[in-house]
Amino acid sequence: MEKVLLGNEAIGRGLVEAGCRVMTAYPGTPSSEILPAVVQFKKELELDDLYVEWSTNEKVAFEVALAASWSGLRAAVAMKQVGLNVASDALTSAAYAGVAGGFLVIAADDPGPHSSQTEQDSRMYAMLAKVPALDPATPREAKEMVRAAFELSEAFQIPVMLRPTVRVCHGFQNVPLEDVPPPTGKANFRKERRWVATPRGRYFAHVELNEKLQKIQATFATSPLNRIPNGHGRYRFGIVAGGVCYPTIVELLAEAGLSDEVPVCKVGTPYPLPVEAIMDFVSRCDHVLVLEETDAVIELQLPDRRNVAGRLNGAAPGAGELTPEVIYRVLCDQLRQAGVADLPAGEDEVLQALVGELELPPRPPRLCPGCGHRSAFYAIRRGSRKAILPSDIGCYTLGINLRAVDTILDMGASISMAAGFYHAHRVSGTQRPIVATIGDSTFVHAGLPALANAVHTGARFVLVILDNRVTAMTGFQPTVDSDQLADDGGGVQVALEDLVRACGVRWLRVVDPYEIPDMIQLVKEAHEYTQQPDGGVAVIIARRPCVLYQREAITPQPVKVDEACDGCRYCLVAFECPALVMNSETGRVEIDRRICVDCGECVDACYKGLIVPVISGQ
Amino acid sequence: MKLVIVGLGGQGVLFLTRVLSETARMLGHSLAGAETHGMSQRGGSVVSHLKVNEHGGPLVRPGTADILLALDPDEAYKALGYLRDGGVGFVNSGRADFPRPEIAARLAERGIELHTLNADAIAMQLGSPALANTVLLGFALGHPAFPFGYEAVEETLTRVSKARFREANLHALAEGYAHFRPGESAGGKGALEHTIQPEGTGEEQ
Ligand code: SF4
Ligand code: SF4
Repeated sequence: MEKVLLGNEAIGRGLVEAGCRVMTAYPGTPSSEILPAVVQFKKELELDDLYVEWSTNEKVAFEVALAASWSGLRAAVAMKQVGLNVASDALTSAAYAGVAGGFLVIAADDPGPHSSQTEQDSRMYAMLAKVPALDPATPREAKEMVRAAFELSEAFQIPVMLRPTVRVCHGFQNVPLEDVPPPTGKANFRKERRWVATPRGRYFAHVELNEKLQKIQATFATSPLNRIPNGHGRYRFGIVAGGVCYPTIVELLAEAGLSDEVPVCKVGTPYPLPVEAIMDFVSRCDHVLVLEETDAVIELQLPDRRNVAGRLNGAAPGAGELTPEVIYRVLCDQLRQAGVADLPAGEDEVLQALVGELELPPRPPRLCPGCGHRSAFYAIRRGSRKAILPSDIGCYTLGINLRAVDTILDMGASISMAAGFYHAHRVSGTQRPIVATIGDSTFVHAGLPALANAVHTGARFVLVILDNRVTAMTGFQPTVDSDQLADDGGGVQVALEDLVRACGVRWLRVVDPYEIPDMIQLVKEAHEYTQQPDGGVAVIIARRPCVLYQREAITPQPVKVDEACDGCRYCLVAFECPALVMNSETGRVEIDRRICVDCGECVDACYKGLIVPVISGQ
Repeated sequence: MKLVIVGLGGQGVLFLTRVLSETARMLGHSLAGAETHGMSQRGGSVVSHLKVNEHGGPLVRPGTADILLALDPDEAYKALGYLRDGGVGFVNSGRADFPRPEIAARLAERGIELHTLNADAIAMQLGSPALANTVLLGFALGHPAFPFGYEAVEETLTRVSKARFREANLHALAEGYAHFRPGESAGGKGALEHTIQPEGTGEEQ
């Protein structure tokens, strides 16, 4: 049977078909759909012997799944590339310890970046940790690689990384489905010295790891995951391509009629690279172009790059996604320089120039109409003057549009940096109010240690936890304060209030951000608390379900803009609801009924009182 | 056959992509493509690529698309570069000045057809602005260059719609389809802008 699957769904299917028994993840674009796919197949096929969990962060997810592997079961963990930073402590140590049941680390990269704070290449982590990495080119291949990765992991007792990029994760294709075997084997943890990390043991483990890698490299030389043109043919121009660059370049060469003239070496196993076999190909070409995302992992492992062009020598750009148009431009340049072919320009420059002249406004993402975060940010801005506003990763990053976000670094940084801003100013004799904002899921992910640290060190600032009851940006995964587990209800609810108090916080209030005047008042009181002699960190939990997730949580309060509106734009800037729009003909603000959700929140946003509730009958 | 579908997050680009990819699969074609997930889904630019019976990667290279579906006129401008010579675009726009004459002229030189419809206004009349995507799809189905027939799309739409939206979606598809006037695309070559008014709104396009 065949089905159209997203790459992430294909990976999920591959896990189920390969008999994976424990799967964990923390959501993050572009990896978020892998675990839900596993849940879907689990339900469809009634696989009761399969455990899935949304963990509180990637390191936790990694360790839960690794323990399953050490108990002899096949296990997998999925995350986005920056999530691997969080799990890297576990990854590097697990490489030395090895595994028992097959163990798969799925790290989804985001060249572009489309939805991330960095473009980092997870294959670099594979090199750092010394674990093999597989780089699928298509959704179909991603599914096949899951099985291959488990087999490799078990054969060499090593964690294996599967590194899809965004175009594989969110690419789709018809994918053949295979039967799902009944589960085999029982968890049986066996005590072994290698599970205990001691420095002396780890020296020998490192030696052993190096030996494993050498053997793996040898098997990769003949692995069907690579397609290395062999024989004795010599070529004027050749290509080495990894991941999604492979199908793209094959297509471009076919369109240009160069498929016979320009051979392509496909690399599915970028680390450890089967160097000898690939160098044999490289040495038979006058010119070689290496195409890979996002950094130069294949290229760096080639010992002789005199005839090689790629990211390292600037032939391909050093940052950004290698889209077909970018690859086409690089290919044109290189073929021309090598005197092989002169291809026509790829894009209609006349049209591009004409569209450029329109100076179309960029369309940055925005908080949804009716989002409770907007009301909270508005109240924070109104309740604090000249505050430093560190924030965090999630939908509420978009609070930048309300000028309510000054810093975004990584998960959890809002709280630690708020403490840092406080100490830096205090030690140099200055004072600034500080309001940190963080989402409920991010707070539990990495905010807890930062909050305990801030309280302990006597930092003084206001922390607003934007509690919308779900992990919204990545597709509404449940958080620890709900009773929802990844595949069902029945989770033990862990209350945010308890977590906050357990970190030593003594000033805590809970508010519905839709009550804007109340929240403004609370923000002011919180600032006052931070100034008191015995003050410290003041925490406000702004609780309001995500409107995209729970539209029914809104009690409709339709509003209209009074005809006296003079178009001063204050509400557009200060409240920034996408449903408030300027009508350039009337010069008045009006409400875009196509997207307005009747939350009634913008009533507070016109200081002239010209956004007014619609009384029924009007 | 290469298709590109663009719009803003929330306009239902993903839904159209699902309907078309499912139709292609049902008809036994091989397909590949890519969707936009993540940050952009909150009102930012969203682009879907769909390749039916093509080899190669998931993305459509600019200058090679046969069909463009655009749910927003500004996003349409940004995506016009995807169309090949002789390609056809369908745009949801209520703007009187879409497309700008200089751009229409360039498209005409390249034999690209552009058909516009105020799908938003029709969707509002049908009672839900969220139906604009299905209205535009129905509209596009009227054009002979569109790769799938009405019945096939109707069948998948019935299948992939959530039960409570099914009837409204089918109605929207039919409305959009009824708004395509084949006569107006006669002549084939040349960028034709259709001034199609949704009945009863009296709005200028
Ligand atoms: S998805 Fe939810 S939390 Fe995110 S912007 Fe929309 S309403 Fe706000
Ligand atoms: S009522 Fe006001 S704030 Fe709420 S969605 Fe409509 S325009 Fe936006």
